[in-house]
Parts: sequence; C-alpha cells; structure tokens
Amino acid sequence: MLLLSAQNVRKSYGKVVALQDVTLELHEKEILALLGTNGSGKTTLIKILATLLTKDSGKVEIMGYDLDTHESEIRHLFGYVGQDTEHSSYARLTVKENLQFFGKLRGLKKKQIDQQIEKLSAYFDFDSNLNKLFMHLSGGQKQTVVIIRALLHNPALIYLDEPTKGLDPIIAHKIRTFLKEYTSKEGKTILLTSHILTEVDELADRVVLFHGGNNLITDTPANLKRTVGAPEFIEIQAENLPAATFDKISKLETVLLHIEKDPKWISFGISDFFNGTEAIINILRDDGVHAGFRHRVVSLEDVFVYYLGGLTEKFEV
Amino acid sequence: MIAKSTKPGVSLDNAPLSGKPIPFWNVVKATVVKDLQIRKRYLPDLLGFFAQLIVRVIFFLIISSFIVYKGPIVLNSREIFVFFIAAFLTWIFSGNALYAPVDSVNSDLLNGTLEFIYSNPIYRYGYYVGTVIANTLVDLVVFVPFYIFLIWYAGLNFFLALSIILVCFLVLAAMMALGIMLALLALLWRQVTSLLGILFLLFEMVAGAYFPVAQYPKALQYLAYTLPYTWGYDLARYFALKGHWNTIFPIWVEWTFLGVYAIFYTVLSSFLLKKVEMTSKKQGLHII
Repeated sequence: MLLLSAQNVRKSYGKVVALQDVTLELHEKEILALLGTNGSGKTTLIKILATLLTKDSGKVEIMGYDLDTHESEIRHLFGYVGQDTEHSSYARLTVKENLQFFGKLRGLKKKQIDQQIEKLSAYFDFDSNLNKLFMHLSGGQKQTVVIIRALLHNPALIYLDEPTKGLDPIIAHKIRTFLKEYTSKEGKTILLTSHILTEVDELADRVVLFHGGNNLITDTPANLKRTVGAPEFIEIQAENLPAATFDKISKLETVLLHIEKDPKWISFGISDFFNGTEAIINILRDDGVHAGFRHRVVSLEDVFVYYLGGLTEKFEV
Repeated sequence: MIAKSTKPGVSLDNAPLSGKPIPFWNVVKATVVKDLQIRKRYLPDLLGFFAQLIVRVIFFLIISSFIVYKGPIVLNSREIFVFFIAAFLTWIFSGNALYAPVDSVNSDLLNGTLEFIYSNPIYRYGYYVGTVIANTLVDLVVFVPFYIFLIWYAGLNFFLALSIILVCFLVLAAMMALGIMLALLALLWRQVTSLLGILFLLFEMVAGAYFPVAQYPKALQYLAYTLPYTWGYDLARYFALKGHWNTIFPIWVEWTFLGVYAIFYTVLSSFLLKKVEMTSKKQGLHII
C-alpha cells in the first residue's frame, strides 16, 4: 500500500534550486534510501516531508493527508532523526527527562511514555543510561536517544537523515541491526539518507539516486547493481599497469567495462569470474607485470560512481 | 492506492499512540517542568541573581537617604526608597519574561532541539508561555522576600499589596508577548542580544524606573507611553505609596493602558509567530 507520494516537488532558496522536479513513492513497510552527492537535495526533501520546510510547488500526500492542508495531522505520523545528533537534546537533562518532555510534546501520557522508553531502550540495552545527563553520553549513545525519541509515539513512518554519520563501526552496526529488527517486527516504513553505501545496501528495499535536485533512477539495490553492467570486478594497481597491458585487458571478451573510482586502482568489470580472472592473469604474466590484484563483486559504490561520479568509461568489446 | 485514513494511522497495523491535537496547557505544563528541571541544575545562578538584587536595594537605600523629590508632590527619603522598590519589584517579577522566550530559542539552537520543536504538532505559543512561567516561578523565590519587605516597610494593607501583584501580572503578560516577538527575531536573525539590551535600557531609563516620567521632556514622555513598564511602575508606586503619588493619568486610564497593551501584544505576537514560522520554512533558514 502506498504510504507517501511526492509528485513534481520543487524547492529553491532564492536563486539556488535545491529540488527541481522530484517524484517518489514510498510503500508501507518499505525502507527507501535516498542516495546522492552532497547538496543534491536529499536533506531538503526530508525536511519538506518533515514539515520543516515548505515546497515551492508539487504535491505531497502522506497516509492520505495533503501536506499543504493537513500539516498538524501529518506531524503525528512520522518520527524524524536529523543530522546533528551531537546537539539534539537538552544537555543538562537526563535521558529520561529529555524523553519524557519530548513524549509529552507528542501528546503522550506519562504511562505511555514510560512504557515506550522501557520497550525501546530494551532494544539497545540502554536502561543503564536513562538516568545519565545527556551531556555525559557518547556520540553513539546520543544517537540512540534521538532514535528512541523519534519512535516514542510509535509512528508508522520514520525519516532518518544520515543516522550513522560519524559513529564508529560497532555502534553503526548496532543501529543498523536495530533498524532492521524493529522495522520488520513492528512493520515500520523508513525513508533514509546515507553516504555509507554498505549501510544502504544492507537496509534498503529500494534506492533513489539524487542528482542536482532530481531523482535520476529508483530501483532495488540488486537491480541498480545490474545496471552497472558487470557483476564482478578485478582491480589492478594503476601505477604498475602499462598502457599496452591495459589495452590488452580492455579488449578481452570477458571484460565489459572499467571504472576509475580510485586513482590507485583500475576496476575491470568482468562477466565471468573464472574465465575473466584467468584471462587477465595470463596477460599480466605474459607482459611481466607485477601489480596488486584483487577481486570484488559489484557494489552500490559502483552504482554511485557509474551514475553520479562522472568517472566511468563504458566501452564495447 | 494511498493508505487513506480519516484518523491518522487507523488503516495501518501500527497506529501512532496519539493523533489528537495536543492541548495548549499540556504544552505549557511540559515546558514548565522541563525548564524547572534545567534551572534546578543552575542553583548558583539563582543565588547570584539574589545577591545582585540585594546590592541594588542597598544602593537604593543609600541614594534615597540624601535625596528629596520636589515635584507636584514632595517625597521624603523613606518615600523615595519606596518609589525605587515599587518599580524594582515590578521589574523582578516580569523582567525575565522578556528574556525567557529568547533564551529558549538560544537554548534550543544550542541544544539542537529546535527542529524537534518545529516538527511537532504543538502550539509553539504554549511552548514560549511555558518558558516564561517557569522563569517566573523561579523568580518568585527572589521576588517574595522583597515583596514582603515592601509590605512591611511601607505598611501596606491587603488591598494595596494585592493591587501591586495584579500590576506585576499585567506587566508580565505584556512583557511575555514582547519577549515572544523578540524570540521570533531570534529565529530569523539569531543574534538579538544587543536588541534586548537596548530594550532593557528603554525599560529602565525611559519607562521611569529611576525618575518620574512626568519630569521628562515631552518627546521622551510620549515614547514612555508606548512601553508597558511605564504604566506598571507608575501604578505600583501609586499603591506602594498608598496613593501619595501623582500618576501620569488617572489610575483607571493606566489600568486600561496596561490591559490593552497586554492583550494587543499577545494577539500581535501570536499572529507574528505564525508568520515567522511560515517565512522561516519558506526561505529555508537553516535554523528550522
């Protein structure tokens, strides 16, 4: 079932166009990720949907409510996690006092708030931190508080703007695990932005690629990876790869494309792991090239570079 | 087909815990509790404020001991002291009403909670009223001793003492509305502390905290008439001096001025709050 629909949304700040013509749909119990370069309009879109900004034109409906006419009703329906979680709650209140205040502003009764705090903090094993002052928490703990805050009123829809930004991999993993578990158990719908592409790959059911205020393409991570044109890559250290050897490898039948996303490594997209790898190794051996060599499968990073990086060269074999 | 519902979320498995409008007073109450919890952790600040006020009272006592006022009526040293204290009490009771909403915006900017406040289905006006009430409750701790002192020193009866409190409340209402308007400027411009300083200077000097407005040049008197404090100080003095004070206008006119200012500024600030929020959201100010 369609939960959120945005059609032809435009937004500019003076002469700067942030969103040109964005159309997207979000279905119930789906995790949709917005991917794009910095300044591509992802945060602007989330802020419009979170009623923090007004759009210039276009139509947005959230659970049957028109954003232009039912702002108050819509504000009950979503939870929002913004980017700056280091400063996101009252520093000199305890976690519990903060959550109780935020819960009351959501119209919840004290008993409901306490039950929600208990339930949500159990997910994170966070009980021992509830009586600590917010200012005494670590970055990851602060982020946890903000996520709990966004879920206090049990919203069907959750906006997460870079939820693991600046967190260490262990905390980030914990938050991802929570989001997966919580959304599947509770049937929540998530709209998420992130620059951590493995995170998007792990969480998202569908991905929207943003560029210059437009959504370029929307599909599942698997389908998007297929559009890159190669399922696997062999990467060779660029500095040790002579031009002649590069040409020979490029002309191989099993090599479909090459991507230069990292100046130190050249990625050759191959159609078949065994034949492709063997053919490349043979050429390197024949030419006497000693270079770093590694294998990887196609990732969302390739998709990102392919569509948004401008570094891709596709060639016919 | 989009998941349409007349009540938020009812067509879904996971309905939000609350979909009803949040009553104005619930927002006020929650904000008061939150602010008092924060203020509880800044007790030395309150002690410092109290010490500051005691120094002022001592200063008034010294000054009044060698001044005699000879205007349309004559005030002796004791009455001059009451003259100062009456205005001073009005100021203690309502002074923070001007600062509290701005402080609240600054605190929300500092703590990063402004986005949460502005994406919530609450009355923002209630939020600011809550901050003023919390500050007033805290200020009562220092107000009450000085108030009791005035009643004792000036020998006021119940009616006069009550009238002073009523004046203080009306000034508070007007100042709160002015404070909310300043908070709106803080939302738009961020830096309004210097503007606050100018206003406080006006309230102290022009509104007649230390000198009778009737003795000012005409132009300054007209400027004073636009300030709620002018009427607050004048009425408080009238009651504190047990009627031995020439008010600028008859007291019923001054009560009316004060009441009208309180209502006018409240309506204006409520209207402007909506306007500023719309402007901020349209212009994409990074604050909200």
